[in-house]
Parts: sequence; structure tokens; C-alpha cells
Amino acid sequence: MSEKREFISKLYDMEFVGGLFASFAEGGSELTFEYFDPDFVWNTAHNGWHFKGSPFQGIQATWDRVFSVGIGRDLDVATYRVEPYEIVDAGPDTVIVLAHYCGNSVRSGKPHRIQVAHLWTLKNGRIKQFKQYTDTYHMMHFDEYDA
Amino acid sequence: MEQYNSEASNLAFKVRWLYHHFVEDPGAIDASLFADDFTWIPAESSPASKFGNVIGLTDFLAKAYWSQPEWGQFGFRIDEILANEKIVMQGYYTGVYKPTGTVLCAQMLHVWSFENSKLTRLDELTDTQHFFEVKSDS
Repeated sequence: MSEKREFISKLYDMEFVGGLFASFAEGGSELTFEYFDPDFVWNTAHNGWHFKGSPFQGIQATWDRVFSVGIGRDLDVATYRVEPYEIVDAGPDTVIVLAHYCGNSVRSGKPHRIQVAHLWTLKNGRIKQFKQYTDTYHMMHFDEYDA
Repeated sequence: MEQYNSEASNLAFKVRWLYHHFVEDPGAIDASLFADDFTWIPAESSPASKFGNVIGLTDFLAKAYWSQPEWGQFGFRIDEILANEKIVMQGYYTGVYKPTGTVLCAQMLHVWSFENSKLTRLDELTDTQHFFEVKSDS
């Protein structure tokens, strides 16, 4: 496994993600800075959750506009996970993860599985840019969707 | 385009031309670029998802968005191409939904898999909500 693929793969270990979220919440800590360039750019999918105002630059803006208002609003945090089915070394600086967001609806309890692709651009061993492509119809029609 | 894997880079140039041929000159498509069991996996919730996985070039070309009569002036805006383990196209679908005249400009990601310089699979993601809105606008 290439070094950068291994680096990105760790982001999909949910235990690690928990620590990363906590680090974001503190406005950035050693863990966040180890993984993210302070000026990284976070691009949310057009018409997806948290699209308004995207792209977001830096740890604080990404925490405020994505993570702090994110997962727990629609997907139950206890059941939420990202399930990658392919991790692609796409070029010198880029790794693409094809995956599904999985979890139960907070409101209906119904299970959901939403197609997503994450593009991670690295620079000097840290994340410079994140870009999301996802099934925005499923997101916007969440509670009426037959899982 | 980033140069990283020469086989992928060479193929990527051909794939870039495919997008032109898809809408302008389908007769010029080089079928030898595609594996016999080439599979298109349409974006989930997209108008094409009703087809399920589409196998073979002929079926792909028949079921693709640009071949559907409800779309006019269908095209692609390719913003970035990556080529290494896969060939990746980032950009937008453009066009007009004929029944309403509404303009389409949907973010898209195409991930082309290949083996022995032949395309074996296309994974598609697109802004399915935008497709829904364009088709619902009356």
C-alpha cells in the first residue's frame, strides 16, 4: 500500500475519526495539525449537506460549518460509519475513496446507505484539500427515502 | 493532467476524446478501447440508476444521458483529469431538459477502471438533487 493511501486509509478508522473530531472541536490540536495543513480547503458536494458557504478554509471554519452541525443532525452518531469499497491512488498528490455513508436516520430510525466519493489532495504529507461528490438527492430526501 | 503512470496517461488522452465523440460524433468512438464486459455503474438515485449496472459498450451508449431524447445540447465540462491507478474526470454535465427548457449543470465525477489498456468499468457520481430539480421544474 502506498504511503499516501495508508495515510488516508487511517481517516476511515472510526476510532481514529473520533479523535480527529475532538481535535477539530478544540479548534485544532496536535492530531489535526499532523493530518491537515492549517490552510486546507474543504469542498462539500454541490447541493449536499453543508453545501452553503462551501468551500471552507481551515480547521475552525470546517468544524463550525461541517462537523459541528453535521452527522448527528440526520444520521444517528451511534450507527454512523463510512464504508469505503475502493481506495485509489489517483496521482502524485491525490487519493480517491469510493464509499458509502451508512447509518440510521435520527428521526425515523431507518437505515441509510448513501453513495459518496472523497478526493484527498496532499501536500508535504498533510491534507491540503478535500472534495466530496455524493448522492445529493438521497441526502435532500432523506426521510422519505426507501433505504 | 498530472503525469504519473504512462499507460494511464496515454489512455486518459483517448478517454478525454471520448467525451467529445459521445455527443458530437458517436461513429468515431474507438470500440477497441473498451473491454467486452465493460460495465457502467450509474450514480445512485440518478435518472440512469433505473438501468442498474449497464454491461457492454453498445448498451452503455444507448442508455447514457446524452442518448436520451429528453436532453438537448448535452455536453461535458471537464475541469480536471487524473491518471494513475484509474482515470478520473472531474467536471459538470451540461444540457437542457427539453420538456421544460431548464438548464442542467450538474457536478460529476467519473472514475474509469482499466486493464491492459482497455476500459473495464465506469463508476459515476453526480449531483442527483440537481437532476431532480431540473426535471421537476415546470
